[in-house]
Amino acid sequence: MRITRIDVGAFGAMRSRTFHTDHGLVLFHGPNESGKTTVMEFVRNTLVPTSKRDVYPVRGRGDHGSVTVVDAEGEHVIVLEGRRRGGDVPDAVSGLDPVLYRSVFALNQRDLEDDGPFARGELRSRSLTVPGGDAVPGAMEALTAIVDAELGRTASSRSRLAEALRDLDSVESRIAELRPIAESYGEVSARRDEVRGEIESAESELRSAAESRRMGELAESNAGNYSRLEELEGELSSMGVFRRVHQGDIDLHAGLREAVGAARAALDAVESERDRCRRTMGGVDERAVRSSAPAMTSLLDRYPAYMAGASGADVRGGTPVMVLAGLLLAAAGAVGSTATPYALVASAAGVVLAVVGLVRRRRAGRRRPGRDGAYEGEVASVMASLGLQPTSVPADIRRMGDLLSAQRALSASEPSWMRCRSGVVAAEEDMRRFYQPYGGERGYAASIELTERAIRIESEIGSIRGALSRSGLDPDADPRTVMSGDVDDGRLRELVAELGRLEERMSAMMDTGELDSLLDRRSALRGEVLETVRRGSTAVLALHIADRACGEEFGGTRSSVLSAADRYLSMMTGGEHRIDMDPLGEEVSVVSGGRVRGPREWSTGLRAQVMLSVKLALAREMGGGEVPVILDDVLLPFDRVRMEGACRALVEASREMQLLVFTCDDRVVGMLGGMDGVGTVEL
Amino acid sequence: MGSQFKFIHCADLHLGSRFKGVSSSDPELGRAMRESTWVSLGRIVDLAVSERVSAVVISGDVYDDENALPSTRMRFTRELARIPAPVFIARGNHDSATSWDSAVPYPSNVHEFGPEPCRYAVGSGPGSFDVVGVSFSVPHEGRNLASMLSGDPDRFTVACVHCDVDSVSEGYPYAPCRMSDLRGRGVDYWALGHIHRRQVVSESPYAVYPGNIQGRSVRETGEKGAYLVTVTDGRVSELRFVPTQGMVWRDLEVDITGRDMQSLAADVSSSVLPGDICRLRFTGSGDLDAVLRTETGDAVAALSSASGCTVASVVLGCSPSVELPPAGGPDILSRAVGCGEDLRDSDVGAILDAVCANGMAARHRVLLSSLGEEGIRGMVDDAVRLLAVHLGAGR
Repeated sequence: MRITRIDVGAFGAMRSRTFHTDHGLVLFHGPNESGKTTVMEFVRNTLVPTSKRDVYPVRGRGDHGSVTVVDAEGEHVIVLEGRRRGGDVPDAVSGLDPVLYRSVFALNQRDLEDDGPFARGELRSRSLTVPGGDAVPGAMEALTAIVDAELGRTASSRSRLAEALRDLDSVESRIAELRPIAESYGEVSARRDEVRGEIESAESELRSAAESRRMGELAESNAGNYSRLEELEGELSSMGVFRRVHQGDIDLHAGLREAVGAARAALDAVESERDRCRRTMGGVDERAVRSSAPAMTSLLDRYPAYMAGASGADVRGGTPVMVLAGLLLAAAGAVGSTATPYALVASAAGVVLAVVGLVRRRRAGRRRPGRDGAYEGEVASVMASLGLQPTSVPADIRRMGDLLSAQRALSASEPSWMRCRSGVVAAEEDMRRFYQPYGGERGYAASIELTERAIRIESEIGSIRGALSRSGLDPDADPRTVMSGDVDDGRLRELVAELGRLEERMSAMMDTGELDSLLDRRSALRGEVLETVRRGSTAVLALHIADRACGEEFGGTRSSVLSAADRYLSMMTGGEHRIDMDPLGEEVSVVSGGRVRGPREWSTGLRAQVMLSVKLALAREMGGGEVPVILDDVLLPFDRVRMEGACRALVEASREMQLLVFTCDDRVVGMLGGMDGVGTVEL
Repeated sequence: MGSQFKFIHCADLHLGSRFKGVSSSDPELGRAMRESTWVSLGRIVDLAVSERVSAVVISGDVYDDENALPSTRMRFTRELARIPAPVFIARGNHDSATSWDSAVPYPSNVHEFGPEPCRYAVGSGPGSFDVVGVSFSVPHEGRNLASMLSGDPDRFTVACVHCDVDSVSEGYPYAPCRMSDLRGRGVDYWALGHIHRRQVVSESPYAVYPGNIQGRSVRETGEKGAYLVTVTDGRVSELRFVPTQGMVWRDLEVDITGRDMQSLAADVSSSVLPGDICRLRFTGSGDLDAVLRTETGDAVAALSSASGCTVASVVLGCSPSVELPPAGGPDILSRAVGCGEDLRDSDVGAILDAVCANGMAARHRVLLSSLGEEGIRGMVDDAVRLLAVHLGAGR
């Protein structure tokens, strides 16, 4: 497509101007303020209108004009009315994005300084020529904006993700503060159990202390009792060790005394009888009687005969003796029966003997005694042996009979007397043995007294102890120790307070409303983070897909763009610098003297040459040679040598696409003006 | 044997856990979602009371270790105390021991299995049976716990264990075992836990995963609850699932292509029941995209009101009216569609590598992995559509 005519009706300050531009390269030249920019903007806005408002010149509703173009289909007149484009708009420009158009097909000096396509690897996305390719830069820019908004570029960038992570971090921090509090429930519970135990102990101690105090007060009020008790116990102690007399002992003692008494009474009875017998013997030595007893018995036996001899024998057979002996025996048996029951047998025998004697006496009658000198001599001898003065035979015989009876009674009573005496000895021995532990009868009496005293003391002690015990006091305690100090419940109060605080804490731990809300919030934030990451990642994937698509597409076009750029650069530099044709290269590089140099190694002049070469190549590729390219003083940065080379390249490029070059630089006018295919328009 | 008794089998209570993948910051909604597990537990306890069960068997993961608190255990203890029957609990991988376990003891009707097998006799006479079980000793239990349990062939035996049978779970195999380990051990009913999707693995003997009692993420939709097991004459005569969930979680995909709000509302209403909670994933392309993006709150409120369900989360995977050309066409969008298809069909790792070429996205690779294969490949589709929108395919 080629612009053949420009008709400016009204645009900016320009009115009713017409320019013929049917050349491959049209050079618009004129001094500053001659209208170059106005014409340039008129062409741009007519071919590809922009919605920007802050443009030069200031737009007005009265703006109008037309641009006539010729392409393979013929002539088209594109009309500008105000801000709107109308008329017959050819396909080459009808769908062009204004931003893309201005960056690719309407270059100025600043565009040569825009190394974005090289620095950000956007060369591919900006060079697509397929349908829709022009939208790629804008789409990638929008997607990048989404990625930045969602994910951010760095960790410190503002983004939804950063905000969500910040909120999440804040929530996590608060959870980290609260959670240990709730989780320490076990610890607090254990401490509570400890404190409960300590309270129990303290209460127990307190109760003990209170009780001690009470007991102390009680003890104080019973001081008298304690004192009396001590006194009594001292008295008891001072009594020393003695043998106590128990009731059993007393009873035994009484029994023994009774036994002794009875034994003595029996002995006395026997001795009394024996004394009577001795009195009967009239002081005659018992031994003499005993030793003379046979003689006397013989005399007595012969006395009847003696009497018979005298008047006949008077045999009495000892009848008075029999009676007497029987009576004595009976008496002795009666007395001895208290010691032994066998004495009763003797007593019975005595009675029988006495009765027999009486019967015989009665039967014998009284007879006169005869004279027997020998007999009488015996009598007198016996009497003398007895220490008695003989009197008469009858009297002496009676005396002898009495003595014999008495002696026999004595003899008969001797066993009984022996037994009674033994009984007395035994009884007294028993008594002695009884007294022995007491140290004798006096000791016993003393013991009784001590015992009675001890019993009285102990009774009183028992009463006092009982009274103290009933009061709850320990009778054995030292009343001075029973008294205790003040009851201090300070420790208990502290523990109770601590228990209260612990239970409050435990209750608060169970009230996890804030923590639950935070956990809810955390869960929601995690979901939000996931969603944000997903959205951002989706945009990243979209960029990736776009980049892949661009890469695949540009892979086909890359070589033609770079080939053209290489041709232009070579032309500009006289072959000194060439575009690196390595298809694997991600950025544009320049081969200079065999060495590949990346954008960071280019000089300012070389950068401008490369930029111009590539942009011309891009414009050619993207426009397909159909879209005229406007160049606004793009050669200003070049020195003369570079300028000449650039002019050559522009003329070369103009063979493939129309170039409209606007300049105020006379050097450019001088270089281009004389070249084939260049038309000039002076403003 | 020769009588009838019943017991309840449930597992994976995850008390105190939060819903995953829900980005709503509505505190009331958060509270309602959190309470839903407790509502489900309460219904299970009510069921135990009304059915007069002989036992309740809980096969692990009672708690959610990240969200466990003493108050959680306290509340659980109160519910356990309502059950007028023995309760048997096996610990799972989320039931780590805590410092407050002894401070909040379970009631006397509860028997928690230790790390070594233990047996309990339940009841007496013809209706008696045994419950055997074993707990995790560490969170990543590697022992074959099932092989440690056995039953008396003359008594009906229930085995309570948290394990992974034939590695049916997608992640790390906890206490792995084979189905062959469950046979011939004298156990009549394997009360399993760990898998959140309800399934009867075997009927001879019975090996059952009741699933969790409340769905907590978009992948745990539908009814949740417990099994009521009836045993008659020493054999399982009825295995009835009883739904107890506090709220049914539904993940709805709503295509906006050629639709208006009214038809959308009708679509959503027909897919949910009042009281359900759902995540709406808007897909497709159409004019509603702009409305949904700019007036999301109002649009969601309208859909909630019309359907009676609670919209907990919205995913805007839709786009403006976009016509995607087929791959291989002459334009850049066709080439992009082709590149998208190639990427979608590649390894998930390759997709993530493409995402993680962005340094900020790379920091969250693990998080992106949690989307799962379907989610990650879905991102590629969304990326193509997003690119198409910005390339002006809708013009």
